[in-house]
Amino acid sequence: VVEELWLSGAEAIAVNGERITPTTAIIDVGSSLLVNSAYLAPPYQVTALGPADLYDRLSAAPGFADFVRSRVQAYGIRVSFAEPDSVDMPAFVGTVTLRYSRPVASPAPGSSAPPGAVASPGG
Amino acid sequence: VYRLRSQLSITAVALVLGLLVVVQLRAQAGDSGLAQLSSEDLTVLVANLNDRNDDLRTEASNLERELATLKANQARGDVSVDEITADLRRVRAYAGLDPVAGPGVTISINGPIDGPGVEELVNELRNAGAEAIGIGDTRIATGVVVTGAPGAAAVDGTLLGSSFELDAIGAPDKLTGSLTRSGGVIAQLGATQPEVVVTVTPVDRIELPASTRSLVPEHGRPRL
Repeated sequence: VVEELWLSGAEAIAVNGERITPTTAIIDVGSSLLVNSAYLAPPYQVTALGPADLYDRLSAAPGFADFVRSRVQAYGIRVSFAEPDSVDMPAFVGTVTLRYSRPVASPAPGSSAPPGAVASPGG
Repeated sequence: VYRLRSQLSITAVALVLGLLVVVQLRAQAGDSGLAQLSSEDLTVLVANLNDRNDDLRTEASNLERELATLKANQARGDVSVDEITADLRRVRAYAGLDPVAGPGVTISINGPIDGPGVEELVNELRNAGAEAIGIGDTRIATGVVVTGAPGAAAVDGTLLGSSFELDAIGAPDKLTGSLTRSGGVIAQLGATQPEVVVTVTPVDRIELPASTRSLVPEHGRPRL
């Protein structure tokens, strides 16, 4: 569902209050999900922020139709939707400090900072 | 009157006790789902959580130090441009807006893999603590999804072909171990897509390009 939402033009997505970030994995742990080091239990609420026709695009996507068809019947999952005018996205509560990655010289704005500025002492 | 009172208090105690017993039994009956996992999966989970705890502890002490610096600066009336620039660079590297380099793994994929198969590899890389991921010349930022039927996997509209590389920055041994463990994602791909050959090579340094996407939201507004 998260992937189909991205493809449909979503700008921000959260699952049960856990914001999906570039480093977020969604792991199946028996009957619950592990997202951003948080264990989530059903029912899952996926919140997405995007253009007004996000839901129309999502429901027109073949991948999403396949998903609904295969899961709803096979596992008895119930899916429901709402299209609020405005959704509140929680911020990511984890760390954005990278331990292994170092910036490569690039024409980034404000490049007066020393190259080691982003390096954390973690590694 | 005295008897009535003692009866009442006994009733109250019995009621509370009953409630507690029920709550306790319910809590024990609740299945977290962890019990169904193999010991290998559990070991990986615990190791990942420990690592993340360590990261957060380091982050906490860094932030405390930063806070102390900022407070000291504020007391002196400095506007700390360097601090803000460092923060900005950190966030840009995390979001994929700046190129980054570091140790990690190179994953060679040969054969007609499908989009969801590549997504499973990417998801497992993230689970193993990958900090930045790229496919060919494309940096995987938020919203970048690999799609397509077997042999027609594409990312951002670019076909990947039948032979391409997936690069990830992170702890090389952890990334390799997590991908190649028995019953792991590569083993599963081997079962579902047997004609695809996936090879993982730890590397000392790889460089990932910046994302070409604009990550500026058109619809969302920051809420402070």
